[in-house]
Amino acid sequence: MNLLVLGVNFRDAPVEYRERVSLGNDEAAICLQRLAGLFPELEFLLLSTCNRTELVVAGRNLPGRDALLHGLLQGRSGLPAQLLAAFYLRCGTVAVGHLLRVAASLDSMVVGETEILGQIKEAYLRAGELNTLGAVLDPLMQQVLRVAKRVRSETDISAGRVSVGSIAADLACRVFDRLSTKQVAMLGAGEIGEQTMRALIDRGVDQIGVFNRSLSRAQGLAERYGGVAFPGEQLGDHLADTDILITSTSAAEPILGPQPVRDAVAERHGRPLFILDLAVPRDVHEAVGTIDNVYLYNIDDLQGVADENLKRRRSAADQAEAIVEEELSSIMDGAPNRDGLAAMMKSLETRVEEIKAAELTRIFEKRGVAAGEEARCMRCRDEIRAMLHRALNKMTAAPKRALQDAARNGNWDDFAEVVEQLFDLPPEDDDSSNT
Amino acid sequence: MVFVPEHLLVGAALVTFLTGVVRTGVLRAEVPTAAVSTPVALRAGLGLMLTALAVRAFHLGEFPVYGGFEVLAWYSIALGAGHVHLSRRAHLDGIGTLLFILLAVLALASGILLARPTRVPEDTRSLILSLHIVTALAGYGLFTLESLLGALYLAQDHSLKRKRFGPLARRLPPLETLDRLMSELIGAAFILFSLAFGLGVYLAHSYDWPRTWPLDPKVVATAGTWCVYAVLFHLRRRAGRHGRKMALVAVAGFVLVLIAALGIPLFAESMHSFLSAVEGGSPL
Repeated sequence: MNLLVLGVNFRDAPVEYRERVSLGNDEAAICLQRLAGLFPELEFLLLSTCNRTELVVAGRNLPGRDALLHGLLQGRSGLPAQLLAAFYLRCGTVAVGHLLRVAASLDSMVVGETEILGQIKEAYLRAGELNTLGAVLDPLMQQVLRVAKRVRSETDISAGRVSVGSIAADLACRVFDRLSTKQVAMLGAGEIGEQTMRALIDRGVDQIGVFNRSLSRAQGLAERYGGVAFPGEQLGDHLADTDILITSTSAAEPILGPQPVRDAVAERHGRPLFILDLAVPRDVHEAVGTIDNVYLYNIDDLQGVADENLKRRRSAADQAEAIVEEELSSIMDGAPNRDGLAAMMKSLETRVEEIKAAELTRIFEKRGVAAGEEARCMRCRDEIRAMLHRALNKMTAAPKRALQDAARNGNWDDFAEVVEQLFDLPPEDDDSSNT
Repeated sequence: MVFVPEHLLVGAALVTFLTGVVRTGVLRAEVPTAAVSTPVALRAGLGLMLTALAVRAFHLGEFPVYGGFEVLAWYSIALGAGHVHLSRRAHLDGIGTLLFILLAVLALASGILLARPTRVPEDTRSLILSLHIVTALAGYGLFTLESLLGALYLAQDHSLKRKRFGPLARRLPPLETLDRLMSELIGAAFILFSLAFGLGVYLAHSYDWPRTWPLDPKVVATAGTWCVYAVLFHLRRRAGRHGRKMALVAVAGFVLVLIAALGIPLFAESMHSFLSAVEGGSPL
């Protein structure tokens, strides 16, 4: 298959390099248009995420690494040589396998993360809108998306969460059935504490109390999360009304012992109290975890759940790899057809353009233009041109569809020959399956 | 064993419950529709058991409560209907498999007991006795469900405390949901059981039982069960108590239910033995 992937990812390039070549949506669109202008006969798809920037190229005469790199990074000056050296080039079967692994999230920083599939879909739609996909990349990317979905549905590759904030929110959902009715107290202002608070807000939490030694800091946080600020020492007064407590202070010693928690639980009549101690050193005395109806998790516990989920995902990765290998060989079995299809589509379009050009030349040369009628005549010519274009497109639509079906269904040779004869196309090249 | 038409209906119910076990347990992870089909299988199975009872009533020409089959059928229906009601109030994924296993065992046992003759004397049969039996069975059914929820609460609590989540814990509802459902269920269960208890006292007097009837092992065990659930009812509904201790009381109550409903009839002499549908044991 005449396909290559040129890219850089988190494995070979640190974030300070990756961010130099990362492209936003608009930048990616401009870059695709530029590449399509530089290499009009090729197909392009551009994927740019925080962990990778990859250009997928398909076509007959693929340019070299430097030419593509130049097209991709045009306008970005001062890029370090190490970054340029980190760009890898994968061709043919290896490139297809790479695309499948990326989409199946086997090549992600966090194996099994789900964002990559959405990002690939977005890249595919963008390339489609800009007409940089063709007979090779369009069906191939559909296959890639299908395989990624299959991997997700047939394996545990995306099972469980792996970020501390999401795990904390998941655990809260094991304790409480509706987080929207729960009172959350945040003590301290650590980064993980805030991350956890955001995850809880995403799950519907909206009753928030922020406790901090500095009231102004608490007010700042409360404003950000739509909560109420309190001085840190008032936490004890509010503990009985609190359902979820997040602590992330920088205190050197535990600041919450078992007795105030025991008192609060007694006042709560046995309703559960979920405590997330995200501070290092810990804010909550470990004896608190032994109190009935109190569920105490520290940062190591959450990390433990994350590691366990990651382990489950990794064990599913072997199964996912097997699916990718199976699909890769199935895709590559159909690859000669796909290349033949691309070539025949191109020939068909060229033939249609030839017929159109010949007919338009013939009809316009026959008739002169009367003086003063130029404008009207130009409008007529435009209409004739458009009409002929529509008619020929409609006429070739059904054969094109039949060819695509034939390439998929394995009866390509029969159809290809008939279409060649009907449209008087040049015979298929034998080198179409070259990598 | 004599084959009766009810066997067909109970057999069909058994197959339906077993299908429920497979769909909720084995296939749940792979078949998304399994969750949807759970209430359908449950309702279908309960419908078949009810139909079997109706056919039984037609054959016997009386309200069907006096035999071992009828007792287990009413108990199953109470258990299943309680679950259907609760599943409307909350998502109960993870409980279905256990319930289906229990219902399948009950359907099998009731099918075996179908052919056994009823030994309740004709002259003791009455509307009050029927009502006593049905309300007691409904109470037992709901208490069983209460205890099942309590056991699952303890399992979820244990997982959260140990910070390890096995396949069961991953599928259980949140602690708060289990607690809320237990709190809602205890009211209906306690009212039904109290009614059965009151009717039992009335019947003891009307049958001219000896004055020592309150010391009858069956009566003592039943009174103990009633007391445990009375305390639970008070703590839940009046004192607003929640949490692990309430779940422990619910499970402890079920131990008494087992003693009263199975232990006493099998291992002790009781005045209830005249109600026996099974040799040496009482259906209540």
